Amino acid sequence: MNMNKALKIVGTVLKVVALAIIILLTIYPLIWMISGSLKGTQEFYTNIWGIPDAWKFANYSAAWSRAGLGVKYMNSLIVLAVTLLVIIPAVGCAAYAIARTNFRFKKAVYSYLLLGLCIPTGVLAIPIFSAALNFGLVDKLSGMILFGAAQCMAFGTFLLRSFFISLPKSLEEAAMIDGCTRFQSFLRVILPLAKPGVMTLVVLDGITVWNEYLLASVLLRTDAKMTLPLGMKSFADKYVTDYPQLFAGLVIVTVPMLIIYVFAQRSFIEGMTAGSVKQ
Amino acid sequence: MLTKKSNSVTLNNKRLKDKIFPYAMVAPSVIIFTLFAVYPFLMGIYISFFRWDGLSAMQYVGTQNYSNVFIDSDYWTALKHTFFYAFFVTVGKNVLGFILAKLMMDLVFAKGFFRTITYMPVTFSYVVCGMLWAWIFNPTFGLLNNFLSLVGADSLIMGWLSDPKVAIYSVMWVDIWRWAGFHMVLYLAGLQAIPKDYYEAAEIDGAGPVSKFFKITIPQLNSVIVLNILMAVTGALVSNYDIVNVMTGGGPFGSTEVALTYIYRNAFEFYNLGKASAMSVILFGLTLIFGAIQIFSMTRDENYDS
Amino acid sequence: MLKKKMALLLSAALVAGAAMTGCGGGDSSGGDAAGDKELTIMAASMRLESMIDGWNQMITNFEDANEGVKVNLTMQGEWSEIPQYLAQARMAGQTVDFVRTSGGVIRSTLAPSGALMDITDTMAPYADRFVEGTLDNYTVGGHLWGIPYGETTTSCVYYNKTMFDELGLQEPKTLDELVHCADVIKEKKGIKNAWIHQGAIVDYWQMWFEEAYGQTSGHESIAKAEDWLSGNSSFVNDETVTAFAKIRELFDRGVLTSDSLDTDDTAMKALFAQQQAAMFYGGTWEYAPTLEIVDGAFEIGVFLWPSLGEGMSAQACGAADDGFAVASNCNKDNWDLIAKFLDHMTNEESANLTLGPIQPIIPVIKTVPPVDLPCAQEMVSFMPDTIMFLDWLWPSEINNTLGNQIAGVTAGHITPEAAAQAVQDTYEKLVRENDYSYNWYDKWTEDQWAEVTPPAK
Repeated sequence: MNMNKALKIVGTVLKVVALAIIILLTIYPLIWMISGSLKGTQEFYTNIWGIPDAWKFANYSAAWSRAGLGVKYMNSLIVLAVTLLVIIPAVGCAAYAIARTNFRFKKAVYSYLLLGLCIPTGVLAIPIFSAALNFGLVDKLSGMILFGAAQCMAFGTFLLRSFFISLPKSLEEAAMIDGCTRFQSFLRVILPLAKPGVMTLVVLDGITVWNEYLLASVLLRTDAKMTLPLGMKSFADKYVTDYPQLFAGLVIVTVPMLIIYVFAQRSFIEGMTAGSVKQ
Repeated sequence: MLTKKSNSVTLNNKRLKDKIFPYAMVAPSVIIFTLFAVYPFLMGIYISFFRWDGLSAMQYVGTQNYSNVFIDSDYWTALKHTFFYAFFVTVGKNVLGFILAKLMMDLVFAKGFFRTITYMPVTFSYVVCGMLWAWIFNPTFGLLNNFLSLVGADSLIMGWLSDPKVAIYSVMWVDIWRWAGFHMVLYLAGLQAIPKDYYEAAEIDGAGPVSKFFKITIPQLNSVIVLNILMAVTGALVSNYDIVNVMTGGGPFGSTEVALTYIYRNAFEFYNLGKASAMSVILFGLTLIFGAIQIFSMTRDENYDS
Repeated sequence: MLKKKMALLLSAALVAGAAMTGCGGGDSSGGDAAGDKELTIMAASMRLESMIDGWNQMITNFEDANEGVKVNLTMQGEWSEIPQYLAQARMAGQTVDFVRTSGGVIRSTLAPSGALMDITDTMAPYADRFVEGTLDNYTVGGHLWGIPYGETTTSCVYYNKTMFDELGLQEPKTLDELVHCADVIKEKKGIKNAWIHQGAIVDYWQMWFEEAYGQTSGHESIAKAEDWLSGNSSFVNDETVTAFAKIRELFDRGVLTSDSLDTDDTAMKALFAQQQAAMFYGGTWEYAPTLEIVDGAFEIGVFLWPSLGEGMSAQACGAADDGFAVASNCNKDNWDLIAKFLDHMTNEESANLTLGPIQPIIPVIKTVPPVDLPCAQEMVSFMPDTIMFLDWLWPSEINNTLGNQIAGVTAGHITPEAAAQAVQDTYEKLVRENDYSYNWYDKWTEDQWAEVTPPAK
């Protein structure tokens, strides 16, 4: 009995230590990034781990204007929103058909889409450019959206299919008895239950799309079309990087995403719990 | 209105529509995927039969790029590193993600807070992650070695990124650190979905924690585990360029050179587009063998409904 | 029902849209109609706002002086990405008149690919505007492929002069003296690295090799490298092996430690500024940023590499960097205008606008004033002992292997002989796989030359 008690105490201590390490490994990097963005150049190199002595908020306005972040922000938001609006419905429909209906080429279609998981897209800069050229998508946000979405199809289909397949068939049978068509039962019954899966996709694809540098550097040419990751190159030339301003730029790029994802994650967990209750 | 209309269609018509329905549903995905992912990749395959620097005229060389790749020991070393990396990173992300999820399950306070912060690193940019960890690992002013000497663990001090034997593990750790929170959230969702009475019933039957874990938790989490492993494996095989590049750029002494950094180097530093494409095709093939076969074997138990 | 129809419609629209746009490919090409007075400059991102302003002003001045002419300056990405951007512009059939990138890229990538115009005759009238010898950096096979449009660089060892003085140390002239300095610094200051190197960056190892090889080859490294690249000799010889061995000696004798293997430029400067290291090696471009970081905390001095052995003496490396070249997909009908722009941008007023903000220690254009910094004069005095970067001579594959091998040699993973052999193997691989030829200009066909030769007046 005593032994058990001792084990329990050790267990609790270990848990507290683990939680402390988690805080250290996640909160501190955030603080480090933000404090780096508020330092002067000299301090950035000599006061590496501490918070800044004098807070240079001017780094932010300088970063904003130097990298032209206003236009780039708008472009990035458009690309993010539209890409997700293309991916989620497309992938949702495909995954549903593969999970819930029977058709002749089902296995073939599913295997074909899964091939996308194995394509090392990053290295295809020149082929992607020449494809974009054929489609007239060079220097267009629509190019970013379509090529970006295509890279996310495979995983999205896989993920949502696994969600749909785990839902009981009785749910949509009931809906169809109530007079819904196949598509309506998918839309009204199945899709809401797959919310956690959709949220996972939103998070994962959202991060990929938001930080996409290679595709942007391949496709976008004019200032009016550029996205945020391209702007982050304005703080360096061949030999010198202006780190405090670069960090300010990165904070500007990262923090809004961070906030959105914190909320997305909450509804993700809640959605999942809700789904399981209904089971 | 809608109901009335669908009532009026003939049986044959309805059958036809049921037949078309799945195809209409998969069409958008298949079209976008074909035009914007497969088509460029096919073009990449085409380029792999040419000698081309992107600037001068393309020169058809047949399969010469492939035979060059087959005798290029640097590429095979890089591939070896890639699979080594993929294995450990997959295990690391999943084990850590699962342990964190368990920890969160048992937490009685501040659950939301911990869940949220654990998840944060995935949103940090690679530049910040790379610089932060390169500096934490720095032998002189780095936090890690200073911490180790503070607690008297001097024997553990090492060149985290400068020792060719150690560097790849340091890079793996950063990858794991960045993604563990994300995997945790998936595991947490899976764990919460397991009905409590399963465990209660098992306890009545006298099952201990270990047998509960293997008899209930693992089987119940099957689809989540498949998902997590798939994500980690494909991430490590075909999209680990950013993290490796920002941490070590493939060094020291080529010890962290993975397939993607080597392919990038050939394409964008050496302007050897044909050979880089050939290497991409080979990487694709290997990923297909190692990745897809594994996925199909892991998911074959799931039944398609009829 | 409706939704289903919409899904069908959506997919149909996608197919149709893709088919339609497919026909209109390449419609974004910029003015190649005859008589179109437009010039396009493709450049990498610039960091200094004053420099961007200077470029814009220089361009405005040109537009004002030439009615109906528009000059488009696009700045994007890193300098090393320029060949990729240029390749894409050529695929798209777009006109690019000028590119601004590193001289190394101009010499070893763009010119051999036929992507640049031969501007030997065009620049001849303005050659005397450039500091003597700088145009040679852009001359390959007797033809001029670009112009330097930045500053001339050289390289040296930066040291913490305040610390040296305090410890009674002199600038080391020999390897033994350097080892002595390092020992004293480590002992008295209790620091681990007397000298820290930015060894995480391959190019700096290449520069080290160049320094060492310059010494072991008796200042003949360029000629010997050319001979090797032409296939007349092997890289595995006494001089290269000794160069590797000498670099390793710096580590074996404790001047540097393996910490340098994963230290990049940022961490290196941080260590120097924190006085955790007393010396580092770099180019003249490191000086101004280092002054800013050190911020007067101590005085900085510079010296050339000490002699590595009996009868050896220092040879630094550098070049007239930041190149500017005319792309071969330029609008050749506009050649007069292109020539006019080259004249305009290198005149006194323009050069001051665009190159003044760099605050060059050693300018490339005579009329740009050099910056007055404490060590500037000393660096200028290193110029006679400076040769062009070897990586401007050889392809980046060689550079990459060389950098990796030195890291392996210093850490004791391979012998200097094996390192030299690995570089030789890379060369042979280049010849085998890419038909590499150092004298590429001798093998060009008449058609190839016609493509890069400006139209006759």
